Amino acid sequence: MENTREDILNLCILIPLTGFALLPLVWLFLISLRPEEWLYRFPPPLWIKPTLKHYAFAVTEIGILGAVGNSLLITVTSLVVNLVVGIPAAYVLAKGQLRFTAVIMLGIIATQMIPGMAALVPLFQITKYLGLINTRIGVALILAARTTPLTIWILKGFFEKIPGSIIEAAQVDGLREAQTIYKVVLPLAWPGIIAAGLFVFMMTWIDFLVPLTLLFDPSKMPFTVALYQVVGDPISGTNYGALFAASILGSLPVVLLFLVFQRYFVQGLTAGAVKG
Amino acid sequence: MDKARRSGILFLLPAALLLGTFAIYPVIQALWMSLTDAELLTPGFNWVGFENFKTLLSDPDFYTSLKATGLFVGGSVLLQYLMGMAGALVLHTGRMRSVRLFRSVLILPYTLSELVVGILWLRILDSEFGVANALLYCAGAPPQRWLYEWAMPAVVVVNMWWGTTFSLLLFEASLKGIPEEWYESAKVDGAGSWYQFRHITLPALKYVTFLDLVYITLFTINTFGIIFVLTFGGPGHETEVLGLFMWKQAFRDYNLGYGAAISVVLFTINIVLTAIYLKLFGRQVLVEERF
Repeated sequence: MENTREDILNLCILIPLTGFALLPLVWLFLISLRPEEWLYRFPPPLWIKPTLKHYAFAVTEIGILGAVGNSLLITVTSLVVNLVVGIPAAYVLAKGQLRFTAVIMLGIIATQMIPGMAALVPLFQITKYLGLINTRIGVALILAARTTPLTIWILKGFFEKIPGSIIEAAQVDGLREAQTIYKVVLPLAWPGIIAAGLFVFMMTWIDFLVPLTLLFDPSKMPFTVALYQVVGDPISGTNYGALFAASILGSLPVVLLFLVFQRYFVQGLTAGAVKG
Repeated sequence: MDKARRSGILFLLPAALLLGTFAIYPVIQALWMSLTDAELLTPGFNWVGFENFKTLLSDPDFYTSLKATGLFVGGSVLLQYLMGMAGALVLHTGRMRSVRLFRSVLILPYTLSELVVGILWLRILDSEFGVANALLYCAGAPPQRWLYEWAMPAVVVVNMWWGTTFSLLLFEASLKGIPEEWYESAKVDGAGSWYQFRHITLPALKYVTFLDLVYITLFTINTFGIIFVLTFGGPGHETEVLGLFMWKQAFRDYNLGYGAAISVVLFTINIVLTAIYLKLFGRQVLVEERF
């Protein structure tokens, strides 16, 4: 009885919240499926025969599939760099008992405190100097640097909750520090890693300014930049249908990824292995 | 112990290298550039000392912009925190199978790029053909010019719509880390839901709340893509937040040095706000409490 009441209460919050998230997206979806004349009628008619022409345009004219491939390349590379660099750092900051942990933590986040826009000019110079200009790996590294502080901060919180006794036991068993992370710490901090990883993936996936500034080859552009082609065309204006159709196609990989990883995310920490 | 310290430095090194190259250098560059009269597209520059900051402090547009930033950031952070926390709590406690579906829908806005979010809401809030006014029309209410009369609330709500995912996922992942037994023993003692939330959940989420607030604050202060598309700072300068003000100075009017000075002010505001959060939450959020 108590439980059903709680469920109803939860639904009372969830339904409006989800509705608010969903309704604008329904609108986005409808615009992507309808001829553009439809946009300029008031009030908007409820039913119009849907068309797939915007999706066809997105694939053939915008080249959204190739652009999504570039996005995948950049984002996956960036995420791997982020985790490889971030996990050991977070581990040391959580468990290493360094003297300057607080200062380092604040320093790490302070690197994110100037506007991304202001960083573009120096980033352009650095990537040029390193010979990484107009390369997807350059973009991936810059975005990894942008997201690593977040990974370190999230994972430090999760790593701290792992009792020191478990880590000591692992080391008594003769595991070296790197093995301890891999075999003991990572499995216990799984939800944190999934959460951090998902977030980094999403942030990197939708970034627009860095690739716009550092890539010149249209064939290397991620989907966010490819979309920009149909925005504010001087002759025909913004092609909303094509923009939204391409944008939906561009969001699909993230949504699929989320659906796959949500399972691990929901599982929670191994019961009993963790204290607060 | 010495060995431990060595491996500690070794573990920090890759991160230090990556951040040093691509994150710390831009900050340093912004700092020194704010002391020059550098222009975009024009090579060479002169040192001008604190001239840019003096100009900034006597620029009335700066104060308008400061106020807009305060409203935009204050509103966005508050709403995103509250919505994110509420959403995370109901998703975490919900045992219905449908919870996964709700969660998947709730993250969808953040899969769109800022540009698309801006353009989508531009369509929705359009005063002639927008669906927001169509809904008002159905309800028999007069149409609104959303991006004129309601400009600031509109950009705050759109930013919340887009950005709440961050707080939501962060809080839910952290809620999953609170041991169930803590609640069990509180229930045995007859504690109600509010008491449990207040005395178990909130303290357990202290670190992650601090992290969430610092991050959504700096996200909101430093980005302006949505405002750029929706209002371009208008009407007048009402929604011209500092990030956009900086963009206009540095990239539209080519005053790179002046733009850098605005960036340094933004940097300082971020630091001050982080210090305030630190004061509120206590220094121990940064270093593990040992017990």
